[in-house]
Amino acid sequence: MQNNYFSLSELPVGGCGIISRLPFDDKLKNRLMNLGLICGTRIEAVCKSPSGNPCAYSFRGTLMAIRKSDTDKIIITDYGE
Amino acid sequence: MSDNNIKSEYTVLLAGNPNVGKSTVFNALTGMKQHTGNWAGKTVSTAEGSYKYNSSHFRLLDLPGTYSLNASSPDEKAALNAIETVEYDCIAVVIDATSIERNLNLVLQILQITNKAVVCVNLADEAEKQHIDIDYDELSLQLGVPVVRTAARKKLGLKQLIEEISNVASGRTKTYTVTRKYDDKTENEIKIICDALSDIPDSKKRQTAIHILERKQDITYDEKIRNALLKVSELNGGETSDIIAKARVGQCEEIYKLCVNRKNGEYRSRDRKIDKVLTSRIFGIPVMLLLFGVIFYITIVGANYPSEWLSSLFSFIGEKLTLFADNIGTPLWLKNLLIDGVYTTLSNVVSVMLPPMAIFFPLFTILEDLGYLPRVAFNLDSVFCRAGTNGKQGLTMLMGFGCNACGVTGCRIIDGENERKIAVLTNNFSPCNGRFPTLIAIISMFFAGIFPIAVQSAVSAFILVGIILVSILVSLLVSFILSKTILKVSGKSFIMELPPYRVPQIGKTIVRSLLDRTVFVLGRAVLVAVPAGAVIWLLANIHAGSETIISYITAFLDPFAKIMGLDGAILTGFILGFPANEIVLPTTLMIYLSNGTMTDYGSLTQLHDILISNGWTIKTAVCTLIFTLMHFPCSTTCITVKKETGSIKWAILSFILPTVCGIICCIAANLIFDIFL
Repeated sequence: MQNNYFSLSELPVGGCGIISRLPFDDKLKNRLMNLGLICGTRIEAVCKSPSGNPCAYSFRGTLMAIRKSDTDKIIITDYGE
Repeated sequence: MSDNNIKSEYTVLLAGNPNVGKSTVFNALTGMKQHTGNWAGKTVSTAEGSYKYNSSHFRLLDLPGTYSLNASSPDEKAALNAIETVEYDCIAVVIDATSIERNLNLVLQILQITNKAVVCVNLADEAEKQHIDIDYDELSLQLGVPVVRTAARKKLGLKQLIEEISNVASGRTKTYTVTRKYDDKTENEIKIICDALSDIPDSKKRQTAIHILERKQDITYDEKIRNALLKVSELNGGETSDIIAKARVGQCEEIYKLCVNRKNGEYRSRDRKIDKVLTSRIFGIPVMLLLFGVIFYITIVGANYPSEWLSSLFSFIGEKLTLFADNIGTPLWLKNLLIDGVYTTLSNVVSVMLPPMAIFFPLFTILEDLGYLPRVAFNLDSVFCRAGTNGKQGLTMLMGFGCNACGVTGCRIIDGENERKIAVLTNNFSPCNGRFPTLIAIISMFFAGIFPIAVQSAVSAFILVGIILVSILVSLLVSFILSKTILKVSGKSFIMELPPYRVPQIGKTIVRSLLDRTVFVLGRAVLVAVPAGAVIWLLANIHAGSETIISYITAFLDPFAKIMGLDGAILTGFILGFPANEIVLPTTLMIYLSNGTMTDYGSLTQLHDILISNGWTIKTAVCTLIFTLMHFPCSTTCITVKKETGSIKWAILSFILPTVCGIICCIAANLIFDIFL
């Protein structure tokens, strides 16, 4: 069993993943952490905006819209299933 | 029981994440009508209220809603600043029962600073609907402070909340700090900092050290601490703040698992279904356009009736006032100044502005309560992203169509400093309710009038939509230029919560919003329209030589106005309309008719005749439309810009920017007309 690593922006709507690396950008990283997004957090892509960017993600019981430029920098692994 | 210790006044801070119903709790406790929003960052300046309990007076300060105390946004800075500087007796932290895990992050950060706290688990009714089981006793045990279950909208649990706040504030309930261990490495680093802290009492050392490790900005450390920090960062490559933040998320998860049981795994399935439609590629934008189209239609058409009622009511009162003034023998000049000058302007401002405001904003607020507005920002974000800002600006722009001053205040919801300033500066490009009547009158007289009567109103609506689109485009273009020049926006990062949909409290919203707007319009009428009315009347009635002062001004401005395709009277109207846009056209008419009092036109045909006989052509109409769309904001908006940006510089720029745009466009339009038509 080997884990696949890819960026959060590649997660299709309805798909789930586990955060495996946060962005290097300190400010962004801090913001994400304060929202409860750390390595190991389960995240789901819920819906895209009409233009496809930003996309809304659900984690720890909240729905957050995040732009592609940010989700490009977040690395996830697939959920196993 | 040490009842002797009871003070007569306590100070209580109200903290919490955005969207947790904090303002509802605040309103319910204090009875003060602070506007509540299902939206991040409603309360930026601390609101204050008070209530009485057991013969003690409780002062309640509402802090801005924040996700953390990291001081990385103005909201967080304000909240942290309040917690650090205000001498409070208790902090009440409001959290959302439906997303306790995320909310705990802020709770833990606050509990690190103080244990004089009460946690208020709000929206408990929503949580129960979603089958979320919360063990309140366990939560209280884990946090070391009282936990109260509330549903502020239904007024549930507020009595207990008041009681617990009182108990903690007076010290009757002993709270304690739960020391949460970090991993050994972090603990070691905390100890290094602790040892460097000399003049702080032992009990506070640990939390201070953790704060310093999180690299709280705005603190100048002494040398000892700086050395200790150096030592820590040598130990690990500058990763300390992450470790603390990460450990805290872990702690939240732990507490959450202990205290909350989600029976229903598939939560929020209703919201998902709604979002699938409202943000979908096919329906997202059309539904949005339809909704706002309907709102604008209701506002513009619906406002006509109350406007007419108000204006006939005002003229009735005006007649009575004239009679009264005659009876008590008021000097003629004073009577004219007060009734023709002050009273006419006041009634004009109120009857034009109040009805559309009282219709538009309650509708807007209902959408806000519903949770739909963040979806609008979500849908619009990509457009605004290209202009260098973010989707939230779309909302402030929409609010600007109601009232620019309100739109500028609304810009508080925008996080980035420069993004917010851009939204503030460009808000005036959205024509407000005070300008709509002018736009509509000109459109229907000069453009729609050409078409057969049957289609005239449709043509008017069509042209109006076109004008709105132009204003949006200009706004985006100027935003783009600003974001690339004086207000550089660094990076494209944008994260925004999409809160759960909630059933709006329609009745309450309408009543409160109606009252808010009425107070706003009346306040503005008294503060702005009254003096403006007096000044304009004086200008129009004081003769210097053979002419009135206003005709000198008109003649002086005329050559320049002609270059812009206007005339002296129109430009004077705009300038004297600085206090309130709604008096621009009446003032211009007053000058045309030189009758010394602001004139409300009887019918559009009548108005059309007056304008034509004063030399208006299609060109004048187009240029007036352009200048109505783009000129200096009204004085209320300018003052609001200064208040919101904290500097006169931005207020001046917000004045100059649209004016220069307007002048350039008018001159260009004039040239095009002269050359090609």
